[in-house]
Amino acid sequence: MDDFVALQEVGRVLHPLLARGQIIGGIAQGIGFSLYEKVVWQNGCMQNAQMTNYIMPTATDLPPIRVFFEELGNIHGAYGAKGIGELPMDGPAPAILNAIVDALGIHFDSVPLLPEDIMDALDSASQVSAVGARGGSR
Amino acid sequence: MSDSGESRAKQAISFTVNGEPKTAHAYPMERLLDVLRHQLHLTGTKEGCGEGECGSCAVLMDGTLVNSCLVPVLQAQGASMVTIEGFATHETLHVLQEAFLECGGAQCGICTPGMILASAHLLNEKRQPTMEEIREGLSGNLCRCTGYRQIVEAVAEAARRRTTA
Repeated sequence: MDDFVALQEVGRVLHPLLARGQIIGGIAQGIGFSLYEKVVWQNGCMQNAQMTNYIMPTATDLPPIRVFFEELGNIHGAYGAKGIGELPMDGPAPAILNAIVDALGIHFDSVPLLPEDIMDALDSASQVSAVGARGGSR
Repeated sequence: MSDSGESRAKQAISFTVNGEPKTAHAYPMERLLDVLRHQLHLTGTKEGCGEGECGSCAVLMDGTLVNSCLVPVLQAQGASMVTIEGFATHETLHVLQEAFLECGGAQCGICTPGMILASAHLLNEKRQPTMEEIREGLSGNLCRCTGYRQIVEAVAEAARRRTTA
């Protein structure tokens, strides 16, 4: 990933520095959930509840994140603001998976999408096309 | 023969913290983190994972960045340490603290002491680090809130101010 552009409709920005920080931080979590953070369950217990095997992004793992705001106001919120706690989490996974689908032409529908998941899907796709090619030559 | 930590007597262990000589009475294998927080009441140093992966308990020990959750206090005998409490001078913030504040480098604040210590260590090693070197230098410190970008910007800003000051 070499760039991430976020456009958020937040009602009204009350504190530009914190609002931008909140959005960038949520996107970072969303990128983590999309590409790294796999919770492995067994018998009701998380099997990888350590920072060594539940991998979250570090400072070296994230692309530049650009944030833009659309301020349309909101009659229900203080001074026209909306809550932005969960808002920035929603975009990254679909954006990232759709980019991968667009690049590979293979459909993915779950997160996190790990490198081994992509390799498995590529292997399956090449087997299918090999079978298809044999079938076509008969 | 019992060899457990509990069966051994507490020892007097002397070191310097933020320029002040201190003596702790602790079991040799107690974590430096616990001695700093519970005996010396320096609670600015945070416990995150407790297994040396997240960097929130980082302190400087004889100029080296260490995770205090992994250091048995015995190893601190004679050492000179700096914790987050050693950064501000009375009412004046350290240049790194100012930059974190202005750039939005702190959100929930749990990683912040460790981030400041790691940043100080980085700037001691390299006066003008590149953005890549800053990201690399902070990669042992995890942050869940900020997305790191504002922290990296804060360190770059602090480096700039230090040169122009």
